[in-house]
Amino acid sequence: MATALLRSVRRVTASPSLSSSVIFCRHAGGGHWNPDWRADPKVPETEEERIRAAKKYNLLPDDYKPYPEDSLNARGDYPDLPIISGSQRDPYEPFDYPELRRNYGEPLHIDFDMYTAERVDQKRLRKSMLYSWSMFLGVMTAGFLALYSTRNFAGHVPTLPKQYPYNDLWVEKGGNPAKMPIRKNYSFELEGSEPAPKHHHAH
Amino acid sequence: MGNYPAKVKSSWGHYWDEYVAEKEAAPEFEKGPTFDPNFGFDVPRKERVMVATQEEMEAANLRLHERDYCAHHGVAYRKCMANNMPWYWKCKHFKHEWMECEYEDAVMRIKEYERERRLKKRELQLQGKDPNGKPLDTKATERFST
Repeated sequence: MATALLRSVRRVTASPSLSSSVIFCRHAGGGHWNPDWRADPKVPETEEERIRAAKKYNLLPDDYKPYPEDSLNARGDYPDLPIISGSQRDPYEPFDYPELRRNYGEPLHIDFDMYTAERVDQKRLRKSMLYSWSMFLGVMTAGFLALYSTRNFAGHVPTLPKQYPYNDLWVEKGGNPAKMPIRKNYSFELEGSEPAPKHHHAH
Repeated sequence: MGNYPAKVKSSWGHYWDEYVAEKEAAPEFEKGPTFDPNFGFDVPRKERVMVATQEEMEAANLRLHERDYCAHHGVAYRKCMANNMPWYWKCKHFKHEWMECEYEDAVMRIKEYERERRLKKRELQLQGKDPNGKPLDTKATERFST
């Protein structure tokens, strides 16, 4: 199907009778502004509408197939084209745009930008599915086990709680002043001794 | 635990002590000191001195965790910022004083933890137990008590 479609595209763009295909190729009424380039939200119903839509997208009417209207993937009258990623296309073919491996006026898959040669290749996998899945599940399982096995161990710095003045900020924390407990905090300096020199750090 | 000065680094050795080697002697780090603060000191310890009043802290709109024994530095810093904005760098001295004080405060907390740990260990030893709560051999206890 894919190669047949490509062949039909090539026929449209490269046949002598349509050597003026550059002029022939116009999109959605020749727009100049983003909304003009949008697909028509209405899926063609009659045969006449189908032919018009196919022509709009530079397709032969036989090759034109819109996305199903009632699916989550509905795209209006935009054609449901097979995915042929950039890596799958012949690098030695004289494309009009060699870096994109596409020709002028060629119908594009709706996610064409995702399937350029440097991005997604739907046919070839860098690693096997088994490798990918076992790597994914292995990492996730190891992470889960690391968390789960240490769930009862609190992570903390080796300190006792911070000390606060005014009876541990009893009033500030909303306590009743009439029931204020006495809480004292002590430094490590002894009564009658000089204050210890401060730590010094290079700033 | 409030704002923790970045200068005080976390260490990992205490995890070994708390969960493996000295389980029973591990201080309860979410509770305050449990022993008499002056135990073991010939001269009583100084009480910590609070400089800023509650009204000053309220007026400077210090946050709750900032109303500690370093709050007077915080009040001075806020005052400086209010007077010098937008030239905030003129207040760097105040800020550094404040951070320095917070650092000393954090060191004090570490010392309290260590003191708690050693006293707990001592108590266990007096009960004839090792830091994991298991009975010591009698020779070691005798050596300790004499």
